[in-house]
Order: sequence, then C-alpha cells, then structure tokens
Amino acid sequence: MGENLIESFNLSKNYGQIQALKEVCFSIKKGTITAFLGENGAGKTTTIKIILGFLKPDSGIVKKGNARIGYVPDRPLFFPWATGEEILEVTAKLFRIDLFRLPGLIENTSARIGFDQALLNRKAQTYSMGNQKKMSYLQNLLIKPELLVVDEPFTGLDPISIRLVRDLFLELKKEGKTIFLSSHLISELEKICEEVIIIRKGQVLLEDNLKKIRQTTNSDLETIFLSLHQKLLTG
Amino acid sequence: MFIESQFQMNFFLVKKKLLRSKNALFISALPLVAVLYVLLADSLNTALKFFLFLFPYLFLFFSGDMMKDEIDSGILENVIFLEDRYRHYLFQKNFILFVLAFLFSASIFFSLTIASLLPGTFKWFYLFQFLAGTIIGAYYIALSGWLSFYFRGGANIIIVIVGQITAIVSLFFSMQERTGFLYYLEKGEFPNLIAKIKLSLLVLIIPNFLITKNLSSYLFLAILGAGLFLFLQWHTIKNLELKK
Repeated sequence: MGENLIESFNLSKNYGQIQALKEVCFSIKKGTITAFLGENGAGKTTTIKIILGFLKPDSGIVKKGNARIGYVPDRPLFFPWATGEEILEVTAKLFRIDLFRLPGLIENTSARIGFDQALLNRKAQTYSMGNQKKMSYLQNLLIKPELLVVDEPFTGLDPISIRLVRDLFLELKKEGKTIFLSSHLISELEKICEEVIIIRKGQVLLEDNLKKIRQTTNSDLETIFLSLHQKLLTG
Repeated sequence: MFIESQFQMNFFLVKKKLLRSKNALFISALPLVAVLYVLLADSLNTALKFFLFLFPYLFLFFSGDMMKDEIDSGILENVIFLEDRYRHYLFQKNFILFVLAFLFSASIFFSLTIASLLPGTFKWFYLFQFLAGTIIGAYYIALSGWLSFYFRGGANIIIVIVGQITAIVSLFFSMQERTGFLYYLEKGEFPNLIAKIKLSLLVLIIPNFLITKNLSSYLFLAILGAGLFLFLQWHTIKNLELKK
C-alpha cells in the first residue's frame, strides 16, 4: 500500500444491463485531498459504495489499509425514531468515546461546521437537508477518521456553511487526515484539492496531481474536465 | 474490531426502535390483554395455560419490519455501519429481539407462576412448556426475519398468521380424510414417513403445537427450523448490497 490508503484494481460493476463501472483503477494518497469528479451517473457513488463495502464489485478488488474510515453520504438518512443526540450517543458508544467528554466534543465540532446544537433534541430525520448533512459531518468528526469519504460535500449547504466545510477539509488535511471528495461541483473542489480523478461512464479518464495538470495544460480544472468530456463526445 | 461495543450499539438501536414502535407495543399488548381476560373470566390456571400457548407470538410480533424497511430506506449507509457492520447489525437483530421478547415473556410467566404457587396449582410441566415456547419463539424470529427480507411493513407477520389460519381451516375442512393424521397428532406418535413429513410441515407453519405434552418430543423440529431460517438469513445478509 505504501503511501496509499486505498487502492482499487479493475473494479467493474453492472446493474442488470447497465455497466456502471468498467475496470476502474485508482488510488487515494495518504494525507491528500482528492477530488473524484464526474457528471451525474458517471459511477462516482457506485465506486464509493464499493470502497466502503456497501456494494460488491462484479470483478476487481479494493485494497484498504487499517485506517479508520468516515463517510458522509450525499443525502444522509437517520433512524426515523432517533434524535440527533441519540445518534451521536450511539456513535460515541461504538467508537468508545468517553461519554463525559462527549458534550464538549459536540460543542467544539458543532462550531466548526456551524451546526445549531439546539437541534440535537429533535429527531434527525426532521432536519432540513443542510442540517442533515451537517449532522453527518458532526457524527464523522467525532470519530476522528483518518480517511474521510464525502459524497457531494456541499449538497443542501448555504454559502456560509460551504465556506466552513471547505475550511474544515483544509484543517483536517493539516492534521494529516486524508479526504476523498466526490462531486460534480468542480469549481468548489478546485479551491482545495490536490489530487484529481475524473470518471466518465464508469471509466477513469484521468488521475493526476492538480498542479501538474494545470502546468501541462495551462487551464483550470473545469476547462480540463469539459475538454475531456468534449473530446470523448467528438470521438 | 469493536465487537463488544458493536453489540452494545446494535442492542441499543433494536431496543429503541422497538420501544418507539407504536405498532409493536400495541400488538404485543394484545396477548397480555387476552391472558388478563381469561384470568378474570376463568381461572389463574387456565390463564397460565392460555399464556403458554400464546406467548411465542410475542416473539413473532417483535420481529415486524425487521430487515427490508431498513435496508431499502438508506439509513444503513451511515458511518456506524461501515466495514460490514450493517451485516452484523442485521444478523444480531435475531438474537437481540429474542432476548427482549424472552425478558418480556419471562416477566409475565414468572408473575403468573408466583400467583399460581400460592394456591398450589402450579405444575412443573409449565416450566417445560415455557422453555418449549421460547424455542418456538426463536423459530418465529428466524422465520419472520427471513420473510422480512422480501416483505415490508409488517407483512412478514401477516404472512405467518395467514399461513396458520389457512392450515387450521384446511385441517378442519378435511377432517374426514385426515382422521389418520389427526389421530397421530392427538397421540403424539407418527409411525410412518408420510405422517412424519406431514408433522414437519405442520410444525413449520404452526409450531405452537409442540407446546402440548404429547408433541414435546418433536421440539427438535422447531430447533431445526430455526437453524434453517437463520442459515437462510445469514446467506442473504452475506450477499446483501445496499443499492439505494
């Protein structure tokens, strides 16, 4: 594994007649922020779910180190009966977080992502989409993951929260954490990522360092993404 | 990884879900009300016998909405269920629901037992029947849990009960043709292979028959049935994917 936390080799996945992934290979480097880009239906979520063990590939393998993994889904869902507080309590119990330290941890973490703690007494499924996303960030930050996988990191978030979350990723990187962000919002990710993986129709088109790509192409990530897309369309 | 804390978490989740489910609480209260009614209308002994025949249904009622609802809803795609923890959660539900239903049933049984010890009407066979009922309860959870991979919204329970009603009605209407089998059932002896197969099928649908004295030696059928459906559950969970 070396410097990589995750390595995937020739991942393929079909949903009936539809080929969602076709021999996808890539790696996630330790201590980096990696942007996993692709249009809607490109295979981003399928790839993430295979990495996390929610889906099984038809062929290919994923090599994972022993790093603790966190996951923020595109649209987080919670047990309909559970309050935010209960969800955090369960998470703390699972990861053996000292319950006496928990209120302090929640307070600090809530401030980092702009989550209103007063909501914790309410059922998490009644939160707005943005607050559900924040709740998921909060849950993940409590467990201090070494690799944080985020599907559409900014879904439902207001501009202030987007800024907070972006800063959070940079802080986590400084702490030595690895972040894997899947999105189709290229401009937001370009501000923070170092590594880029572009996927289209279930195939990895590009995997490289962003600086290097910029130097060789002399253009921004969005232009690179669109030109790759255009090239494929025109054959 | 985190095996002990994982079980604690699963126990917490299953218990909370059950306690917050109005349907489960309401349906679970029905046998209790029925026993109370018999107690007031008849005698403590009859109420105890009635409870012993009825209480395995508590296990069945506790297992409503066990799998499919949660699998399809997307709530398992959470950080607490990463690294295959959702598979452990789903399978451990069987054991946790069994423990919760057992504790609930045992509290009623021991209350009735203490009450019947005072007038001296308690029979030690009741204790055996309680244990037999517990095994049947385990069978119900295993069966209903397996069904709940395919049917949602409590339909797993309805299917079991409709199956039982159909079996009883068909036995009743074919009494003339089945006198042989009914005779064996009454005697608790099944001399030929066909009769044994018929008993096995009947036990798969209505295992409560095994609580009666003359059929208690066939309790192993409920254990085998529970083992079979737990194996089927394990196989389904092993190959499960969260596709939402």
